Parts: sequence; structure tokens; C-alpha cells
Amino acid sequence: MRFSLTPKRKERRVLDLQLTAMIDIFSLIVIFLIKGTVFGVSDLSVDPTLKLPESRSKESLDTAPTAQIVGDRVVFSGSQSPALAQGVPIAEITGGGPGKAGLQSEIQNYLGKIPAEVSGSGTLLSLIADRGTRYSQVFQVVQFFRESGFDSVLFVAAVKEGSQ
Amino acid sequence: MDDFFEKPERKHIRELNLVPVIDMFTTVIFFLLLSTSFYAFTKLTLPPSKVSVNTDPLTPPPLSTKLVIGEAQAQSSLLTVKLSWVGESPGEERIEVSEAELETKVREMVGRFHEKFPAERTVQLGMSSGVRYQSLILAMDGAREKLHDIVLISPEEAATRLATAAAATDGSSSKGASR
Repeated sequence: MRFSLTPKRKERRVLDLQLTAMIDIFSLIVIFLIKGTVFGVSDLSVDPTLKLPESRSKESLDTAPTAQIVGDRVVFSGSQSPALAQGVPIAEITGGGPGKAGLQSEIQNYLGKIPAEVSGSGTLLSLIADRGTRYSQVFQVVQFFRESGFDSVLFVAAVKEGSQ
Repeated sequence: MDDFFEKPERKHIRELNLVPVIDMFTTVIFFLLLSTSFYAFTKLTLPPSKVSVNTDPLTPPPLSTKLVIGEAQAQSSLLTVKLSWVGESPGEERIEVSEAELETKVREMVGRFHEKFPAERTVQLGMSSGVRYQSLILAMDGAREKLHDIVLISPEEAATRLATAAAATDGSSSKGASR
């Protein structure tokens, strides 16, 4: 048995910050954000020479490859071939030619890589063209890509000023 | 005097620190709720393939609604817009507008059509070859509010339909339901 002759001094308690809960939460948030983020979905690289048509539609962009009409050529973003980087003349895809076969092959490669659960709900294509493009060219490109395997074509437009 | 003798140590019951666990599960629930998508799966059983004849007199025939747009004249900035349909009471409407008012006029035109045929949802949209892409977008903006399903038709077919309409107008043979 110990005896204490002096009055017991109060122990000085240091206030420690409880960081465990905060670290738990932030770890979870980081994991979910990393898992839930899809990079590059809404990236649209529009040719600087194009002036997009304006629309009042408020629909957002979907994840889809693009077909871009630049001048009298069409450029497919899903193409891996350097030979098709500059696009294929529209006259070739309607009239036939080496560009048409090459582009069709690239489209088939692209569509073949899409997982079945994604392609099952329909394969989309975004069409980008200048507002002054003739309807005949737009129709020919849409027809070509529809026949090549794309189920729906989405027309990309800029939001009209004052429509928001 | 009380402090003279040391107090006997109290029996200390260890408490489980549940705060971080609750924090964590609250966060998990929040994220799960936000990230969950609910799908309704349905099963469609198709009948065996056979030829059937629709004898229901209440089912109206398809209207085959067509909206075609073309240049009014060679040197003119005006556009000819024609909305036509077939069915039990076929008809057509034809106007000339500038591109600036194309969307509004198409919306009005489609609105009048929708009053007559509220169940119709599909329109075939076509333009003559020289019409600008901007006009297509404007026409779609005007039509989509009432006619959601838009199918593009070829410029050749659109030009033919515009030409036949013009010939019919010149011959003063307007159809019964035209406005």
C-alpha cells in the first residue's frame, strides 16, 4: 500500500484530434471517385475551321465516337489507321473507292471492340459538321455510317445564346 | 484527508469506439444510393411467326408524316416547308419562310398537326440537297417537341415531294385537308 502525503496533482490531459474517422471517410471518397470517374467521355475535338450549328436542345453529349465533316472529307475518330487520319472524301464513301473500304474496315474494328453489354443497347455516333454543310453531304455520311453498323446518329450543335 | 489514501482503481470497462465505423457506413450508404442504377427487366414473348390481317376498324392506318424543306427559288433566301401526311384524311400544309424563322414556323405547323393527330409521334424529315445543315437542326428543334421520332429521308426524295407539291399547287388541286 502506497501512501501519498502531498495532494494529488491533476494530470494534464492533452487534447488529441481524432483523425481516424476523417481518414476513413476520405479514403472511401477517394476510392469511389477513382472508380466512378470515366476519363475523356465528353471530350470533343472539333476542327477549328468548323462553325457548329446552333440549337435550343438541352440534351447533353453522349459517349460516342465522332464523324466529322471537314470540307468534302469525313474524319472518323475511332480510326486507328494513320492513312485515314486526314479523312476520306465523301465522294469516295458514296461512289466507292479505296477510302470507303478502309473506313469500313476501321468501323468494323471499332465496333468489334465494343463490349456486348454496351453495344446491346445500340451503338451511337456523334456527327460534327459546319452549319453551312449541304444536306446532301450530311445525308450521305449518315447513311454510310448507319449502313456500316451504327444504330443512332447524334447531331452535335452548339447551345443557342439565350436558350438556357 | 480523503487524498491521504490512494483511491482504489475503478474497474475500467473498455468501450468499443463505434464512431469511425458509423462514419464509414454512413458514407458507404450515401455512395451506394447515389451510384445505384435501377433497371426494370421485362420479358417479351413473341408469338410464332405468321401472316395476320388487321381487321380492327378502330386502328388508324399509318400517317407517314413527311416534313420536307427546300429552297423556294434559285436566287431567294426563302425556304419552302411542306408538311404532308396520308391516311384516312390526308392533307398537307406548305409555307415559305426565312431560315431565321424556320424553327418557329415548323413548331407552329407541327403543333397544328399534333392537334389533329395527337397520337402520332414519327416524322420523316428531308431537305433538298443544297439546304444548309443549320436548317436541318432548326427544323429538328421545331419538330421534336411533338414528333419525337425523326427519320431522315434522302434529298432526292425530298426534292421529288417538293416538286410534286408545287405542280399540284400550280394545277390548283389542293388536297382536302390542306390549310
